[in-house]
Amino acid sequence: MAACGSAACSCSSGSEHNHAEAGKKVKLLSPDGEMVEIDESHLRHIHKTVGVSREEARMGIPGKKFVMVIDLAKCKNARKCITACQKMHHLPEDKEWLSVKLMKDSEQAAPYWFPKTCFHCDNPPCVKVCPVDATFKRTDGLVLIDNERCIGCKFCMAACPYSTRVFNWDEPAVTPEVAALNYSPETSVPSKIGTVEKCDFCPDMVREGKLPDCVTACPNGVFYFGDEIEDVVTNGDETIRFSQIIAERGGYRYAEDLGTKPRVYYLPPRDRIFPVERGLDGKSEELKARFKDIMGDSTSVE
Amino acid sequence: MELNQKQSEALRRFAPQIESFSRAGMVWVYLLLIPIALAGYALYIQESQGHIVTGMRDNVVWGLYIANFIFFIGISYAGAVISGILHLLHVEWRKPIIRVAELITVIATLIGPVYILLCVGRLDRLHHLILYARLQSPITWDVLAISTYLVGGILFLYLATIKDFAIYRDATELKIQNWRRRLYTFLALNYQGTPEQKKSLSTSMNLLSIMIIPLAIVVHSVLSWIFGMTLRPGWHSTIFGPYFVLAAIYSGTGVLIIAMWIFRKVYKLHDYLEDKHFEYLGYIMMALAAGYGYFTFSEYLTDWYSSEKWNAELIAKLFNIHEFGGLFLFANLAGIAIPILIVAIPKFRTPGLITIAASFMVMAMWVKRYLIVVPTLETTLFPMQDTRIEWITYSATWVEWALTVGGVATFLLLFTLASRFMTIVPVSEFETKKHE
Amino acid sequence: MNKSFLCSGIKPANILGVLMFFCFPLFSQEQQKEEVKKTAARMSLTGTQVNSDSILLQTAIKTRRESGLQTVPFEWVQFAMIADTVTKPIGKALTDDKGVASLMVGVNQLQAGEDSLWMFTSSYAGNDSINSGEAELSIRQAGMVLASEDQDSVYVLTVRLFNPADESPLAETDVKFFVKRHFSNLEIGEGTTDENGEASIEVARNLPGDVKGNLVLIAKAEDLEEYGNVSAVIVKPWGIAPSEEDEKRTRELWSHSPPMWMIITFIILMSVVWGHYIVIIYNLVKIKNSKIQNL
Repeated sequence: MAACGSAACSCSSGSEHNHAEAGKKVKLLSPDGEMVEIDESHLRHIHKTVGVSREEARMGIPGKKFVMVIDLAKCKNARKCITACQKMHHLPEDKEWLSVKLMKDSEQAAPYWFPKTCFHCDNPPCVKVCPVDATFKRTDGLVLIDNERCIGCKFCMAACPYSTRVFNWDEPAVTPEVAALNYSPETSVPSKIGTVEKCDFCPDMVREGKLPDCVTACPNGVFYFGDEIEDVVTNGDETIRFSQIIAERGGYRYAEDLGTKPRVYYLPPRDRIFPVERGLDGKSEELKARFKDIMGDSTSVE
Repeated sequence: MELNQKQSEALRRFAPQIESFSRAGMVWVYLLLIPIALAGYALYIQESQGHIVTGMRDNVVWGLYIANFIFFIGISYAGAVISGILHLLHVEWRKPIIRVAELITVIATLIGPVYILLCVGRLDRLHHLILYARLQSPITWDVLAISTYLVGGILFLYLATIKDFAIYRDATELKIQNWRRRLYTFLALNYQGTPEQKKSLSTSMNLLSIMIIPLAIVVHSVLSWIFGMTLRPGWHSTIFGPYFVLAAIYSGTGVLIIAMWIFRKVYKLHDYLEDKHFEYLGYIMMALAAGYGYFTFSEYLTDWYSSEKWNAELIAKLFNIHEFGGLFLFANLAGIAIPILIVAIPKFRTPGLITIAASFMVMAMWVKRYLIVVPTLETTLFPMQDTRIEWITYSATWVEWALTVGGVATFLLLFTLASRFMTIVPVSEFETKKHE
Repeated sequence: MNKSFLCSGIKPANILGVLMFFCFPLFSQEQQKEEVKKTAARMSLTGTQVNSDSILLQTAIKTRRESGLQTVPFEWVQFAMIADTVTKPIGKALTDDKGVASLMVGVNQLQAGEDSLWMFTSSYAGNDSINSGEAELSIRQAGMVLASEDQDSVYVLTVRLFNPADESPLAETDVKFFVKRHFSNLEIGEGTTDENGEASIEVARNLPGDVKGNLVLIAKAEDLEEYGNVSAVIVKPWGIAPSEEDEKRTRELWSHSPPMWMIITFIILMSVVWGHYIVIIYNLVKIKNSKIQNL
């Protein structure tokens, strides 16, 4: 079977196949053009969700308006969110749909770690300029990309002030199994050369009532995700009322004056649980070099 | 068709050009094919390996290709506006130069959009631009505007050449192959110079001349709004529409002067493309330089005076000699000061020097387009915090340069081929005064 | 032929013995390799009694890897109950991406063993790299019911916790109250059962509900010694229904359909310009078709 050939698969022909018992079968088109049928439980080894069709992906999950709250007081640049997102979407190490910046708002201000997802703006500058309707805003607040429609003009990348979108400049390095997956704008997998992609708030997980991987992977509970209509956000451990936490902790949106109406709120880095230098602990020299403008040379630490 | 004396004379003069290729001509064409072939190879590399072979990355997503696109559409304004306006004003001295101007329009409008295509990641999905077009996108406006403009430019060139096609068709002394004569016959549309036909032609020309001016204004405004409608510093400027239109007419004038000078030199057309043509175009160029200079000054003074951080970061980059400062200085000195000085001072107002000024100006205008596209994209709102140099600053690769030079070579080649197909100075325009 | 060959003294058993002698080292090597590679499966089993009529059994499989304790996703687990030393399978489930398999069982399917205790097991057969594992759970049936009151614009939710065998109340037990939300449950109150096994809270009036304004309210007593987790669910129309927002396609700069004025402007501009072109082309056709009087 074309899809069950590489080391990514934990089964090996000949041993007892637990998965061979009951379970839904799913049809996939392998990169060689063969129709392959796989047990859905085995498919979930390759990618743990199955996305909806391209047409349905343009309609939002009814009755929802997703929102994210990021607690800057808790972030220490653990970067587990980044690796979880890359693992979920089969991205290479150097492609970051979610990045952690070190921000220093002014001369006297203290630096703080700033995880940046796509803000899924309510007035999205990227969607406005797409000439082919490849990126679209849904009723549930999410801004998604259909990489079968995208022509790669990169106007959305030029229009986004937050530099959140990335481009596939060459053939994405994915395993044949991943390349054979049925594409859905909700899974955003597999990537395609010459198209744009970005953080999608994992609508495929959200449909199943599960939180996006970045939320659950964070060891410090920095990300809260939820529904504005339900007025609740959760980071996997705490579940709180969205309006309450924004009011109590002074939640705000980044660059509010640009008028893009982001759906990601930040809680100010006040009463932090980690000193900012902890963010460089155990990190590679290359990573530390990224922040040397703000943190100075790594030789001065430790 | 009956020819008057001036026209017969002109036809005799230009016959050799359209009859055959000289040795030098053939060598020139072969020379042009070299960069074009290299460009073809570069394109193959780009499409087979992906755009990773260019210098563009996630921050600077647009580079040389988009700068070239704006540049070529800009210089296309030579024909549209200059021929158009001068036609409506019945300016007599325009007649020898209109064909060069109109050829520049059509050829540049053919080559310009190719650069957008080079920048697009998925050429296999171009039909999406028609099937799934979104009217709210400035790129859709651009697709509509440029295709409309191209049709208008071709029509304009054609209308101005019908009479000439009729002359070539009827000129038995012209030693051309049969297939060419048949082609001229087809293109001449049975034009015999009857009063009705003259009227039809002149109505059409007037209509189109009137139409092409607002059309040209809309086209380059729409192109400027691809930048103007974003939130980025250096792009989100309210004067981008008129600024780009003025810059386009200005650069178009420069290319026209250069083209005229080359044809005058190569074909020894001193009695047709006279010194006064250069002088008058020089005046136009100077006036446009002043206007363009005014817009430029206004734009950068306003940006520099304001304190907004994102803007100030861009201005700092443009004024810093270690970053874009050198290019910025060149673009403004060569682009504004030199043309004005050369034309203003009577001693310097010669065809040769005017052409040199125009050449500097055209180069400066290309640099200016580069300075519009790249520095803004290198100035991000969020700190880049990347260690890969290719992702921080833009550095065009050989693929992009090869395709740029290839585009210029294609422009020159198409021009050369056109000058073989129709006389570079319209023969039919030499009408004695009472036929006006 | 073969018979005579065999009868001549080389017995099949001898041949087999010789083969095994040579193959045994190979077998034991492979087995050793397998044994060295396989890790132990650590399993845990919890039960949540819901609404006095069903039990949600959840088992988690973890195994130790180089990077630490890892969950084992997408593996089948068998659930069984043991009554009077008879093991009866009650169902199977696949572990999710967090390594947890869940099975909902109706109370009426179950038989209590001695001391009216239910005994459950979950077992995992193992795979190439993980050994098989098992977990056990013994719990007693508990009853929990929710009652609601809506008086003087005050919503009151009361829970009663008891032992259904003898209807005796379970007092001094901490109970938490939640409202179900899309990803998790939001805590809205807590209390301790009194001598009647009852606890009450007031439910806020400003909780958003579903389309009909319903709320799914949950009471939960966790980690009780004999009873495991006990919970009850009730649906009440105490939520605020979302406003009838027009989720239809609006006409915005960022929507699929453009604003009306854009469409009108586009049509006007295009018609004017291309209209001119059509007139010009018409003129050209006129030129082509004009009758020439030969002079």
